Amino acid sequence: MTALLRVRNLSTSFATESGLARAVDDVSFDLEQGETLGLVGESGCGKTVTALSILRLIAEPPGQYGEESRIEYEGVNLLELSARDLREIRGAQIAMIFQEPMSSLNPVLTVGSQIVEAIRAHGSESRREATERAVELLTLVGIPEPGRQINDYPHQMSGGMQQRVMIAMALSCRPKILIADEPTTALDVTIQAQILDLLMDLKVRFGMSVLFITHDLGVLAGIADRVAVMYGGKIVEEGEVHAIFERPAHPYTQGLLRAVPHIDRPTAQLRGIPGAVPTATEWPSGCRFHPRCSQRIDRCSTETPPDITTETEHIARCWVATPAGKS
Amino acid sequence: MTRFLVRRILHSVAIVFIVATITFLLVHIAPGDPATAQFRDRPVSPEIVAQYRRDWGLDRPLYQQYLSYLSNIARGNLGQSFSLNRPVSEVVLQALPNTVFLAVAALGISFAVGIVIGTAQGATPNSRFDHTLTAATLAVFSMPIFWFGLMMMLVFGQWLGWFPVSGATSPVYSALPFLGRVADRLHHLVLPALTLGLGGSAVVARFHRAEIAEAFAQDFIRTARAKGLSERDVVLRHALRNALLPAITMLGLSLPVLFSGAVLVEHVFAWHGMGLAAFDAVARRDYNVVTAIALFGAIMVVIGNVVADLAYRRVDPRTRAS
Ligand SMILES: Nc1ncnc2c1ncn2[C@@H]1O[C@H](COP(=O)(O)OP(=O)(O)OP(=O)(O)O)[C@@H](O)[C@H]1O
Ligand SMILES: [Mg+2]
Repeated sequence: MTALLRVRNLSTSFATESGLARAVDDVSFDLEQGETLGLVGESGCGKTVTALSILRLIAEPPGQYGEESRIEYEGVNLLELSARDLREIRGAQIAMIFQEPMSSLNPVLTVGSQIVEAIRAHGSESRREATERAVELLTLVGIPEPGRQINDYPHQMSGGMQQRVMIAMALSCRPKILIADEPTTALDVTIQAQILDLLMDLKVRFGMSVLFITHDLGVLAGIADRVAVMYGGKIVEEGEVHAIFERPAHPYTQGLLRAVPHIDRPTAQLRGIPGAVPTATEWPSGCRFHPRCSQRIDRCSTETPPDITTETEHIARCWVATPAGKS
Repeated sequence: MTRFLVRRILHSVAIVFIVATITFLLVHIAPGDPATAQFRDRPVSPEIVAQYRRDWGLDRPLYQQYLSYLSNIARGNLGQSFSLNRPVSEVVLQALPNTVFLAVAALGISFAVGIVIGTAQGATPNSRFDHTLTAATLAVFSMPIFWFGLMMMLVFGQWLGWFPVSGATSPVYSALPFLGRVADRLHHLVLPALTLGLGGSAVVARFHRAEIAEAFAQDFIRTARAKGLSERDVVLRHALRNALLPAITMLGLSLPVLFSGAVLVEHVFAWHGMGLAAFDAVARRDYNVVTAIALFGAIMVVIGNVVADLAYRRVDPRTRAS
């Protein structure tokens, strides 16, 4: 069975004053029907650009998609669709929520009218029917007094409530895929947990596939089926969630894991990865992670590492990863 | 809200007071006075001139004249016109409707044209279309308004003969039926209003282009596109709506420019409004009329600004009292 969404050789670059920023470079992954794929990596690794590229929301120029890039949804390459056909996909088949709910909502329109607008963009509902549906959706995402709050403006709500509105809006046309780009990063810890629970509950109810983007690997433990780890515009490791947590093969993934709080490990021992993500205009040669890697060998700095299959459905792009059956 | 209003009103009173003082000083410092202007064309004995000055209180020390002027306007008494020998309030009120008529039409044109152009530019930043319009609006903006008026006259009045070039009405105006009068007024309005309005539209377009471009950079535009809205809805419902808020402030700010432009345009088109009245009054050193018109202008500008601020607060949900 082919996947619902197949991303193939996606490269997205930006023309900038300091050169070509290769924000996403030859990224491929699948999103299966009903699964949650976690996409994780530090800030600046290209997660948001990947997400926006799927719906072709990158401004061209300065952005540009590589010639080999394909975003196949139900077998159709979204990068080749006409603007009109693409709009039929956006919001209706694939919906998206963002990191900053406050700035993602239009401050001068009521939340209700923004949801109604999403519903009416894809259906033939009257304004009244759409408003009724918007109230139902607000109820569904746990907004108290939806009949009243529907007339509120975004600034009258808390961040958590705004994100619930964004979720309601995203679900308004029953999309098959939800892309959630760090949906809880801007929220308080307690609110984060509530939003995560809500998302996972709705995912099951709506039978959606979710691409969940985060910089916090720990968040994925409870929600993801599979995990793709991104560094320097590339996916460096990919596998089933338990495999990633229990047998991380890439030193970068291992570093991310050491930064996750764990019951067995006091927070004092939490360690981040030394150094910082370089800018997208000047990725290092060879393995892009090598300047920060504690396990690097000579060839890491000159040769791009191959795909190493460390176990079934588990791939790492690293010279020091051990191929399956060789340990 | 009330505190805001009180503060704004005190502010406005202070501005009007300053304008009154400055115009008073300017007209008195300028060479010549109503007496010399009055008898410029017919030489008379110095006694008659002196008598004239005494009659109008022009022989008193300046500070006395200033104080009585202030106390008069504080009581709403604008005094008498030297040259026309009528109450100043009458002169001003007679000129007012024509000026308001012209100003409102010009304001409408400058905002309608400016916002359409600015939106189109801001939605396609740095395209060839955008650059062309930037050059065009800059050209219009840097043209002296009286010259622009003369060109309009030449092209649309002289050569093409589409519109009258002088006055607010035709000589046969009073003989026309009601609808004929309306048509006659509008016909006369076209060239002066376009002259005044297009100059303003260039400013509005440049300002609005920046506002639209800024709105386009906002996250909620991305959300709107992600929802599957058409680009038309993204522009009109999301970007334009947000960019219109600052345009309201712009409306208040553009009033002074509008009034100073009106003085020149009225002169060029012999449009009998406050600008032309001010022009004549300056030539005749008709102090009371000049200061009264400046005062009126100032009052309209401050009222316009307060109204624009209030309107802004009403339409922006973030500042609207809930
Ligand atoms: N419009 C743009 N123009 C130029 N460079 C860009 C643009 N958008 C993104 N980039 C660059 O692409 C790289 C990846 O950015 P991206 O926003 O995808 O990172 P991210 O993984 O989502 O990080 P974060 O956790 O901060 O959201 C960064 O180096 C960024 O500077
Ligand atoms: Mg991001």
